[in-house]
Amino acid sequence: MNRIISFIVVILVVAGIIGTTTPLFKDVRLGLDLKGGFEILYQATPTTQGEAVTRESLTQTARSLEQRANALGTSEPEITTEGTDRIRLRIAGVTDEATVRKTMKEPAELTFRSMDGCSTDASKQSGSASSEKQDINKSKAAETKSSTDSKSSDSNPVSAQTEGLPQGVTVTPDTGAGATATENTYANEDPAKLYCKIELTGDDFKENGASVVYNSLQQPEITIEVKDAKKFGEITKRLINQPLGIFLNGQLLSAPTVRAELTDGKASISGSYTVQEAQQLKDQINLGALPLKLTEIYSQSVGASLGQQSLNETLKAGIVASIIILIFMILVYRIPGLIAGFSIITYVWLTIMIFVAGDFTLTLPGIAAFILGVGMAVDSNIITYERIKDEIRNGKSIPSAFKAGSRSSFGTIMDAQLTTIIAAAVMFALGTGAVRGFALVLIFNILVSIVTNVFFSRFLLSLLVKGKLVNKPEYFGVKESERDAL
Amino acid sequence: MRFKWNYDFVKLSKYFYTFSIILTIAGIISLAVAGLNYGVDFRSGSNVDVTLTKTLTEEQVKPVVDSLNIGKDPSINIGGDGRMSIRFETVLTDTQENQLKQAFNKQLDSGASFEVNTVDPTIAKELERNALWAVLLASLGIIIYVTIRFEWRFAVASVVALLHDAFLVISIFSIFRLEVDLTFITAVLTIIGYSLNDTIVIFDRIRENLRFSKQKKRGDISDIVNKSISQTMTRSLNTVLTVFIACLLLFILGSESIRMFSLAMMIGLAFGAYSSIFIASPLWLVLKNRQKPKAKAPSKTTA
Repeated sequence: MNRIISFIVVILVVAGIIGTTTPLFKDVRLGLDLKGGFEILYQATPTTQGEAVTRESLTQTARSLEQRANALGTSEPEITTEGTDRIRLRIAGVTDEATVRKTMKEPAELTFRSMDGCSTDASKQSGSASSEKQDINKSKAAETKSSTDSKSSDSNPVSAQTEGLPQGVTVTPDTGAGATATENTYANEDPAKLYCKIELTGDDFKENGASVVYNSLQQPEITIEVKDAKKFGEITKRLINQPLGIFLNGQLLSAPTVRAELTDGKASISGSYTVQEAQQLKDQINLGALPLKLTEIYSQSVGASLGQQSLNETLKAGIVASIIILIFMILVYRIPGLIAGFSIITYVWLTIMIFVAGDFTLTLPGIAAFILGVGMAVDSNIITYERIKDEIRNGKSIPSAFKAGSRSSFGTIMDAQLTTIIAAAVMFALGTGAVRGFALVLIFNILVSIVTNVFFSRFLLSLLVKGKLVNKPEYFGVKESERDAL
Repeated sequence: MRFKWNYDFVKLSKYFYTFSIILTIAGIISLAVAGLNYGVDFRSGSNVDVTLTKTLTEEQVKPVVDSLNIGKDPSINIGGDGRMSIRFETVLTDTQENQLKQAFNKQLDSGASFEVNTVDPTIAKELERNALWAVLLASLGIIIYVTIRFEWRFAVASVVALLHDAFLVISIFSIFRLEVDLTFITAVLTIIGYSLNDTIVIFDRIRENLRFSKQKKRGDISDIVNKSISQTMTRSLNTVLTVFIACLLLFILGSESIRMFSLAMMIGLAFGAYSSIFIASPLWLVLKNRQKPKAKAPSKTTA
């Protein structure tokens, strides 16, 4: 009797959990093919001939793409590097794909710009500028620029100094501590307009020339190297005591003030950067100095409504298939079939919850693997029940038939499932894109299937058998006439 | 669902070997002569799937597409339930893509939505190679695992069966000129998984029956194979039936994009069940019988 009560309690509790958590299903992250958006696969090639695409430059480029995608305000861009020279970009839920595509295609453009002879121009261009604004612009331009920058240089005292030179002149950094009023006034000013003159471009820097070093105070500094020391000397001479803005794709990264004429083509940028900020700036400078050319080799764009329609159709097919399978199981296997049905529902629920909890992306091949996983879960039950039926036919009592059938089928199921896992694991390791997703879904489907349709369903059936509630061969779909006398 | 499956499967297997060999040869010829009917995933070009809000005919669409003069040889395919696809043999540029969308929305159907697929053939080549490697290495993994759990003869027989299934599905797609797209690779890989699953269940029964029986005569093992197949027949059929139902419904009701996947799965499932019963098990027997004379000398028969 106790077992019957535990059976009922287990069923009610599981059904309750499933019922109450089902609304979470809407949190499943849907892939491109379901939600709409687009996917681009880029081939990266070095801009300079004879150069190789390195792991570092590839990840750098990928990171830069991600920043750009984020800046466009798209939701959760997914950027992965593939192989040695590929970058895959997935953006779901994009509305204006033409703009995004164009932005993503532009190579990383690094420039060092000065305000040499253009601060008045900038004010003129922004026609609405007040006279007060112009004054500040002329005198305290350095402050305005640091306030307009978003993150990297905000309130960072930055200085530039000659590196390891005897005449090394240290520089008072621009503290960026301008009056708040000034910052607000210029928050909307385009820094690219303030720094109108391009002094250096990415090509002028030595490839991978930027690195992070630590000064005597254990503070990180970024050292940079240019190709043409003479040109750099001329620029630093001309711009003494003026800020030099570092721009990546028109966005101001940092703006150290030049304090000395630097003649050996080397410079270091110091300030109270955190290690992370220094690394980031270094990477950005190197990226600009070593931009990879990106060629679009594959792209797929999916209209959201089309994706939604695909999803609905596939879901509908899945539900109808599940119902037919459940009816089939109950007709053939009776009470155990009913338990199999319950286990399969638990399995479906658990799999979807893993999608929600793990924040996995569900795609169409994933759904296909999922529905096929249901088939494999059913197989586990069929193998077990067929064994039990055989034992009953051989004349064993229900409890001993259950015991023998469960034991002998266990090895079979495990071997069959494990070999499929091995095949899927190879697919996951070697596959790309959709194949990989499919393999992953298949693997954890099998694992969940073992838990729910081997252990859980057996536990439920054992409660019924030991509780003597299921005590007739008919309950297993075996006729009394089929039984052999022992 | 209770039948007696007491046939001499081993004896029948020679007909099935013949059938499989003929089909394999036909497949090789078809693949060599005609190859596969690659979808746009595998061919350079653009495929524009359009979901319509009203019914359009090819006569209405063709002049609009032609007037844009973009792409090469656009072919228009109007499907049922408000869908149509336009395929271009060359890759459309962004501008051309937008041109097409705008013209379509303006002149034909303002509510239409588009799905544009573009592929460079080098990617497809790589994917094919990638899948081929995946299958070969997966086979190696399976051989290792099955050899450890069973013995090498089972491993060889199961790998022959799964390669047989994969190859025949590819052959059928080649012979009937069915379109091969990216999901086809996924389907073939899944078929391999199922075929394996199916074969292992029967092998497991053969192993079990071997353990509990005495083999004296040469024919004894053959009887064990027959017995094992007939014992697992109900399970094999019931399982294949349920998975087949799932695929059939995906094929009928599922979205257009996985239709070919479902078709490949159905064909593969049928071959998978067939090969585990009529190819893999008899093949194991052939391998086992070769070993027999050698093992006779030691007193192994007293098991």
